[in-house]
Amino acid sequence: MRNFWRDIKGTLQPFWITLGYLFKKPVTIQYPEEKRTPPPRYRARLVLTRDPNGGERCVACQLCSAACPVDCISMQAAEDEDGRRYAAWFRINFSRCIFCGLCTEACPTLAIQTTADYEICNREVLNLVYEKQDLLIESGGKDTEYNFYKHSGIGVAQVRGEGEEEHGPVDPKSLMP
Amino acid sequence: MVNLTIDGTQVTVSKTATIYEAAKEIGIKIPVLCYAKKLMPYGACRFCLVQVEQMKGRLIPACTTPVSEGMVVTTTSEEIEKVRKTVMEFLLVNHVLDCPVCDKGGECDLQDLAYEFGSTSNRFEGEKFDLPTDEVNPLIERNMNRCVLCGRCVRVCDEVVGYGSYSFINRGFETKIATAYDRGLSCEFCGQCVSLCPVGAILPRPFKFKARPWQIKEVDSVCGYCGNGCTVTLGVKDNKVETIRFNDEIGVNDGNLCIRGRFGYSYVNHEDRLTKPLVRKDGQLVEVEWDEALQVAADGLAKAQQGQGAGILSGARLTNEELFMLKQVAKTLGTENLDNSGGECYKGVTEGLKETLGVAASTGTFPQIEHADVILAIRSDFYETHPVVGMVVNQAIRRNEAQLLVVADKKGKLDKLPREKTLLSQPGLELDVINAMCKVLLDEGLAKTDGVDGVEELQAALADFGLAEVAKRTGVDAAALQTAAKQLAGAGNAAILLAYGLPYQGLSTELATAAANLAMLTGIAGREGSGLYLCGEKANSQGAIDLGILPQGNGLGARAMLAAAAEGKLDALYVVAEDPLSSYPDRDSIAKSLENVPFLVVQDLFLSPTAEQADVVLPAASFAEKDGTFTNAERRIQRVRHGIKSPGEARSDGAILTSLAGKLGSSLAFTGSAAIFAEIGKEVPAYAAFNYNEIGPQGVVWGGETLQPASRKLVAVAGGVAADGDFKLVTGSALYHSGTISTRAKGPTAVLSEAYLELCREDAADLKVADGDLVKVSGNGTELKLKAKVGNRLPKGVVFTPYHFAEAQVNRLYKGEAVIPVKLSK
Ligand code: SF4
Ligand code: SF4
Ligand code: SF4
Ligand code: SF4
Ligand code: SF4
Ligand code: FES
Repeated sequence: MRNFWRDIKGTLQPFWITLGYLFKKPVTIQYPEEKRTPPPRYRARLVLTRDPNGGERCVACQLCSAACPVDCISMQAAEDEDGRRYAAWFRINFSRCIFCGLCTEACPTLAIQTTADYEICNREVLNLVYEKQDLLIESGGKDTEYNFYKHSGIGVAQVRGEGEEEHGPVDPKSLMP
Repeated sequence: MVNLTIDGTQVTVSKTATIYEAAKEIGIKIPVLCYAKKLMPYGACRFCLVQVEQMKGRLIPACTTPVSEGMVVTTTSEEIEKVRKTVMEFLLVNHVLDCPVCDKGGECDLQDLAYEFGSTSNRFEGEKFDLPTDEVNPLIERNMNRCVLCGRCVRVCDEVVGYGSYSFINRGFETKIATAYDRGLSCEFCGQCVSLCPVGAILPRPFKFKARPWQIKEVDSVCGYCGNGCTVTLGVKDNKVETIRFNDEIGVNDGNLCIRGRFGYSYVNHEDRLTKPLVRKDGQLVEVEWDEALQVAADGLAKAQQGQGAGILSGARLTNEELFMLKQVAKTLGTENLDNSGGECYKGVTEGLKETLGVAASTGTFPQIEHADVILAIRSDFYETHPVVGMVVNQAIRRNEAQLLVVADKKGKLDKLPREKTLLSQPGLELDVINAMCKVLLDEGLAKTDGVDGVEELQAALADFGLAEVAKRTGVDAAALQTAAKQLAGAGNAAILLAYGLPYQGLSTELATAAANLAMLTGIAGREGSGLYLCGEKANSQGAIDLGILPQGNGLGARAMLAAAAEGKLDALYVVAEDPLSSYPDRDSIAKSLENVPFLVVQDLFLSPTAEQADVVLPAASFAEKDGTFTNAERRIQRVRHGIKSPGEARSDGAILTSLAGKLGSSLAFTGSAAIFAEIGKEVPAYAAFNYNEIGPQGVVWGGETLQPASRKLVAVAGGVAADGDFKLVTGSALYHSGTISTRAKGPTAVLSEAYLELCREDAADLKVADGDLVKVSGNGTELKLKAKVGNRLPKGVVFTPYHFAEAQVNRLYKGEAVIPVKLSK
């Protein structure tokens, strides 16, 4: 007999909850007519950013490609005239990318960053292979301050001795008594 | 043997082992940075500190401390970890944060250790290194900001290479590694420092920014250049050999390489490689399909065989399996005219040694040389021809206090070492010096004549090789000659080194015979630990001899074939992996042979000057594109492995020869190299003992570490003939090149891109020529213009020119003699 009341209650309670939601604001939205603003740390399309001086941040160190669990990043490193290492080409295959963001964690230069641009579907798979020119943006992304070459690459992107953890060249002979 | 306890485990090791080596034996890993297996213990970095019960109160470096009986060692404890971590912090005080742009990233010992110790922050602060990079030379980049001062480059360049480029300069925080006067690096560019630098301070420039280590496929193979047979590890990415990697775990060479092996790989990726077969139609070479080319070749050769006959000339850079197939082609075709490498240079082995010792190979193995007490190098100090054996000689002198004797017409690189004695002889008269040594031994009763035939005959024949006469004739100091002979006879272990090759054709049989006589009289031949080394110029010179790529029956040898062709008495020539026009002596007569032979087939990687004359050109594969075995100059059979695909439609020589044999009507078919290797065993008994698939990383040595001579017969040889003329020209191999193929590789040509004429300062002053001036060299009826290179290696009146460069046409002067009288003028 106790079971009987319990079952009645169990049948009616869900209806009650449904009834309650009828009067609340719906969570579903009418995509694509309506669009949602994702949170800033949302992980969608990747971009390559630039340092405060406008230089390409990516040094083609291959770390993102090594970190990527689905192997969808490839590139070729090259040397610029001033000794700077950069990516001659850089390619992300977004049809394989699982948007895990591990590449951005691996990146020592803050070059590769996730954005909230999630609308990159395409009927043609090859259109999802993004080249460097498709990836490179004109801003520093989430961190506009950081410049890898200020900390490293002695004498590459700034005059020797002007880096942040650098001192000017020393002439050891000047230390002689 | 010594017993000790490491981390509670008992271990018994040899008394020369260090704590580090003992721990390694039982699988305990002690972190190291400055330690390198092939270098002497040094103790620069202090990462390997351990605790030893008996030496309480301080930590002991494991890499420099020899084991002692009853030692109790602890390799990890809280204290040790703390100290090691601090050492790391010290190192990182001034180390740049370059990993993302540093090519070493991913295989950097410092990175690995920092990761292992979890060093993420530093308690100390200091100035980062701030030094300019050295990018003056095209091959090795030095960025001393990344240096950890382990001294491995300094030590390897000195201990192993014997060049001594580097040294520590300045003090304290300013200490750095520098070359003399802190200039740009300019050395022999063997790249040993690149291999040994644990960090990204010394890097190979041709590989700069090409790839990360994890993207590279490593293929262990054998260097395709000289008979040293070094193991090279091809670094392959996207079907391209991008670099040669360091591997000291396998092979005979302990990871040592010379410039050709280390930087000379790029010819395999060369854009001029032949990619399609060519057939001459209406006077032009046109691309055709394989089937057509093979058919034309087969028909032409068969037709020639019906007529006055066909001849086959081979190079010695084919694998044993390919050489076997070449022999099959000769058999199917029915020709006995078969030969390799110009036919003359290897006769020291096939005739000289065969007649005296009854074997046709070196009697010892290279590792034995390191333990020799006395080493005699004949004609050159061996470093130019077989640099890595040269490094072994260097180590023998430095580590084991060996005495090096060089009988040559010029000083060698090792000349500056202590315990080195060069018996400087007139060119072409080294033979007399060796004969005189034999005579000294016989006269003074030092000769070991038990079981040796022909002692009296030799004694009689050597009558006019008395010390005084020979000294007068050759210019060698009589007392030095006598001492040298005595040293050689008195040595426990000794080695006699003699290189042969295309530029060393003159007196090759005689020199080898004389060397064999000396080896018998000193007891070197067949003695455990000693050896007579006759080393071939090319990667598989020994294999070509073992497989009998020699004139068969009454067949013609290389010289005779070319002469017959010149006279119109040979109807076809099939040239495999050789460029006779560029590399054989007497270019003009060879040009005539190639012109007069009605049908010429050339099989090569490039459209060489010889191939340009051909009726059919078959594109072949380089060593990096095939599987098989090479036999090096110490009889070691090693596996060559396929690393990349051939460009275009090029095929391996083995595949070409198999198809050609098929077209000629042979029904032989093999399923790969292993099957052919097994078949070789049926013809060459020495090879029957081995199974192709069981050839390990060290290779297998046929005939054992010490090859026992089949006979001991002294054969007298007459002395050389002194050349007259103002200047005496000798030709030979330059350290940076091997054969003609290395002139297509970027690395070696970056250092040496053209032929030169080397002469001593005095002669240069007399002739009023300076380095780089053009000098007219006339002799043998021709005249050449060569750039002067002034040095102090040569005695007065002797000049040297390397033979590698096709454009210089040195082989118009050089007609196979030991020394060429020439006139020089500005
Ligand atoms: S987000 Fe993940 S899957 Fe996509 S590229 Fe980065 S690492 Fe690879
Ligand atoms: S990790 Fe960053 S710097 Fe390195 S290759 Fe990737 S994007 Fe470029
Ligand atoms: S040497 Fe090693 S630790 Fe130093 S920058 Fe290069 S990879 Fe990094
Ligand atoms: S350059 Fe390399 S090998 Fe030489 S001392 Fe520095 S870190 Fe060691
Ligand atoms: S050329 Fe000779 S010595 Fe040099 S790496 Fe090759 S096999 Fe070794
Ligand atoms: S490895 Fe022992 S001190 Fe460097």
